Amino acid sequence: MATSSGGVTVLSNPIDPLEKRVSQSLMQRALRRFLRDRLTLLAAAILLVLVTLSVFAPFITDVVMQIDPNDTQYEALLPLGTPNHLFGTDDLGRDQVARLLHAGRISLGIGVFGALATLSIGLVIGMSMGYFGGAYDDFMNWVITTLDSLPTIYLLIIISALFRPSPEALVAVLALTGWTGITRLIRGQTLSLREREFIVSALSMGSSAWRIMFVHILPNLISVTAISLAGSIGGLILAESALSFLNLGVQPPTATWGNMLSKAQEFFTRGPHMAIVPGVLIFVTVLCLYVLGDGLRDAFDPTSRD
Amino acid sequence: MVKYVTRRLLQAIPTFFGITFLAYLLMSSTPGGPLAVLYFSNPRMSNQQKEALALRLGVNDPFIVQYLRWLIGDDWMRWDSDGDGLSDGSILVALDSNGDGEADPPGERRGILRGDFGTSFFSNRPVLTVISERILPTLELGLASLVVGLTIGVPLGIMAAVRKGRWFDNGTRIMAVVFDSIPAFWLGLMLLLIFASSLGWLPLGGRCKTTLDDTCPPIYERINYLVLPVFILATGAIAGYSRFTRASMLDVINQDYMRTARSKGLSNRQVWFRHGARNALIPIATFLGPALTGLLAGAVITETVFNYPGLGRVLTAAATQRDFPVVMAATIYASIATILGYLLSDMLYAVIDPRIRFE
Repeated sequence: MATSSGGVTVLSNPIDPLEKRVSQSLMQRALRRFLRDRLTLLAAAILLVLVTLSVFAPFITDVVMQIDPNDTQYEALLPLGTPNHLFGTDDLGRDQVARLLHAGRISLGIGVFGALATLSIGLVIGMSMGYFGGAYDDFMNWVITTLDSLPTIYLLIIISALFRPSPEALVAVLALTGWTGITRLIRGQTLSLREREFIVSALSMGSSAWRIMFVHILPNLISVTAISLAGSIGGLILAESALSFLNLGVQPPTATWGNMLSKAQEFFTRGPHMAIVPGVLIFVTVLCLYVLGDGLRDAFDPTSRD
Repeated sequence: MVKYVTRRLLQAIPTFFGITFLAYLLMSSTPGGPLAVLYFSNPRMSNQQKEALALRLGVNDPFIVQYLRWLIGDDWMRWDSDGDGLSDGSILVALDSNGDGEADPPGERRGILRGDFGTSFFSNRPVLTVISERILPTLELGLASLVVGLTIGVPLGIMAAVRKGRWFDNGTRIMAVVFDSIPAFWLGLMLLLIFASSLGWLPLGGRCKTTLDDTCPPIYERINYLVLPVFILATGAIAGYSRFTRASMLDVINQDYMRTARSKGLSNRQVWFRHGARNALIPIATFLGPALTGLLAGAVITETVFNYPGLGRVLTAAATQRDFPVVMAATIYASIATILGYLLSDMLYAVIDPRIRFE
């Protein structure tokens, strides 16, 4: 096995000279395993559909359906399967399909951008902690321990109740409260990578610290970050939906899958459909993200065989 | 052991101060701060009363003085030695902060470190009472779900490990990922919709039937109130414990002593549970720290869905109303619970695993 900064190159198997193997990079092997994993592909396909629907939500509701998601009507709490209102209407007579589509934009958007923001913080702080060490590392460890000494949900609830964040601000809040886990992970990986030969050789050629971190260490963290990203998006979608359900997240009339459920408990008897569909969408989305994350882990795992 | 615990407790001190600082910073940086809440709660307040209130809360002092007042009180900042109700000495703060030519009244607060958490803005009751009467219900719910989670999750994990790759293993893995990705509050809503609203088998929420003096009968008479919240909390625990136990058991299963046990003719069950599980369960101790935190800090979302009078619901209600003293006290309480939880799980780990020594 020969190691390079780009990944792991596998040489042909010396025990079986008859078998011809083409050398593959880590990425190529991961891609090949990924494409064979049907469950993961199914999850990815469902996610693709959900993302597409969300991205084109304004077009679908304005041009195709010609319904505004915030338009209230006299006919409230229509059940599932009503003509023109496939998923019924809510307590204010707003069309559920249009709201679900627009809500998907917000919920998925918060999940994706929140996870990217969390990851960026984790990469910068984690890599610098692992690389520089010393007093800076000690101080940041104290910050992380302190933040971890409070249940995240407590912090989230307090911050969002006191400041009533917009969806954009909520992304920042989620990232600022949730960066410690991934930072620890990246710090640990960096600590072990910095002792490797290719880092020593880069150092000997006079590379700067930031060049080593971003050109030599970062590429080796790609698989770790890709795996954690999918799970992180799922976790943030769950967190956002719980907050919005408690009326502490995104405020109405802007719809998210979470705040569509916040009134469901009041209308149990007259409109049970209000409680069902948004929850199913959250569940399916998060499930697909977790399955995708597991699939990526298997695909990137160098110890698993084809 | 004593040395180790002392060191860990000393290490917790800077963490604890970090938490208090963060909490105070958050509270004082909200638009308007606590004063706005109090003005809003009593719109008929005269300007004179407002000034007196601002003076008493010390909102015009520098941030660090306000933080110190909240942390260790202000009875030492401005004191009254001759008993005329006006201060005759002060440090850190001015003797006459509003400039009316008359010394301000002496400080009365003792600060949270000396047990003075103040009174709730809305119910006007001492914050410590508000918090402490919710601890028992929270513990009840937390303990019940921990027991259910462990008794189902751990055996599932062991069985999944010994049947690795077979349908039982795959089944538990699917169950775990499904439990992980269902939003807990939504599952709660669905179960309420089915079992409470439609079938009427279980109550719609709360801890027991409402009584005049707000007390509840012994726990065995109100199991029906606990069924749904415990189930919701246990799903998460089962998912976590089963996967963790499975991984831990897989590490153990190929050890030499397992082969020895099998070769001396023990039954499968004896090999798995006597020799395997005992060793596989050691890492579970690391899981008990966070579990203990959950136990003490309460299940914020689940308590809210089921209208259960625990700490988590106190927090959401207080945060929504901006009842700052209650929010702060709940936060401090939760952070102490977390710090103690981690300390306890580390100690437990070392006690049950003789290979670990304190250094």
